[in-house]
Amino acid sequence: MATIAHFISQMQEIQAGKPWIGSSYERKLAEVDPSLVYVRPTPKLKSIAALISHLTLWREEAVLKIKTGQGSKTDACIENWLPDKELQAQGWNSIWAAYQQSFTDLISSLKGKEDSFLQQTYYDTDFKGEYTYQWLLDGILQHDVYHLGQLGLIIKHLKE
Amino acid sequence: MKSKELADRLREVILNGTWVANTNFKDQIQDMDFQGANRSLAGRNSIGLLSQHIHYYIAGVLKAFQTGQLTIRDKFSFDFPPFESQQQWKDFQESFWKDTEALAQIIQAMPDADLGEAFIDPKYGHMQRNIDGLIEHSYYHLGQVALLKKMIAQQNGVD
Repeated sequence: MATIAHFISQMQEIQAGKPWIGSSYERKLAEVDPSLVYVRPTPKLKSIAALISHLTLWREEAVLKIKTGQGSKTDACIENWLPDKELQAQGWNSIWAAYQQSFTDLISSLKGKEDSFLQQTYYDTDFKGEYTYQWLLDGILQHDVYHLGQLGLIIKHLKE
Repeated sequence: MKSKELADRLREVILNGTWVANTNFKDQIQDMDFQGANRSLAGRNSIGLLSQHIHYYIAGVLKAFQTGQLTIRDKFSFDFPPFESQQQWKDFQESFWKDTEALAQIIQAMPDADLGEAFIDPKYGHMQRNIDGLIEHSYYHLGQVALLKKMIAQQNGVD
């Protein structure tokens, strides 16, 4: 069944394990020269730094929703896709550290919770309605997987 | 309840969802022509090939539910020639949408208790894990399709 333990296990695989789908975020990013993280593959596509920052935002939002029952951001907020200058000002080490911290915080926020928690609801600021935490966690996992598929292509493109 | 949620998640990634990625397979590919679907950027899989790869698994799981036999194999999951005409590409899409909805209806009709039962054979794990995996796999390649489509559009000077 869809349990919190299973979600945590899936997230850990995608983050740093050996997901059945391919390489993890950490493994893919280990191949990348830091000088490339701000480079856009094409002018209208996002850089690796932007993508990682984007993932961090939605994990932080998930933690907020788990802790308070309500989020604070929408798809249109500036933090969703930060401008290149802002990302460069933050620095890659800081962006990567925030990403890793968001992962730790998300897992910590779920540990100790019973599976019945998944059927409780929170208010989704973006979709303006009550949704279950099951819906939220499925979405976070799928969102990470969606961008993991993109990350591999971006890295290949930047290396050419 | 869980079966309906699972079926809806499958519909979302292939047919009609926007919550996770602001898009879905149908949204991405229905307006493409077959030449664009066949286009391979620097040796990468084309959007047409990735779409057929995802459909291969959906059709295979659908058939497994209908017949009790799982005949799909990973090694064959990219074995598709390029599309030869717009009609062939459109026909493929219709099969993709039809098979997805048929599978979603089978999943939706399952009693929740059955989601914990073995999928075809205990060696494959239980139903929910397999359907979850099918959905996640679809999101993985949907991300690639969305990116490739933008790259092609930029090369064409469209976007």
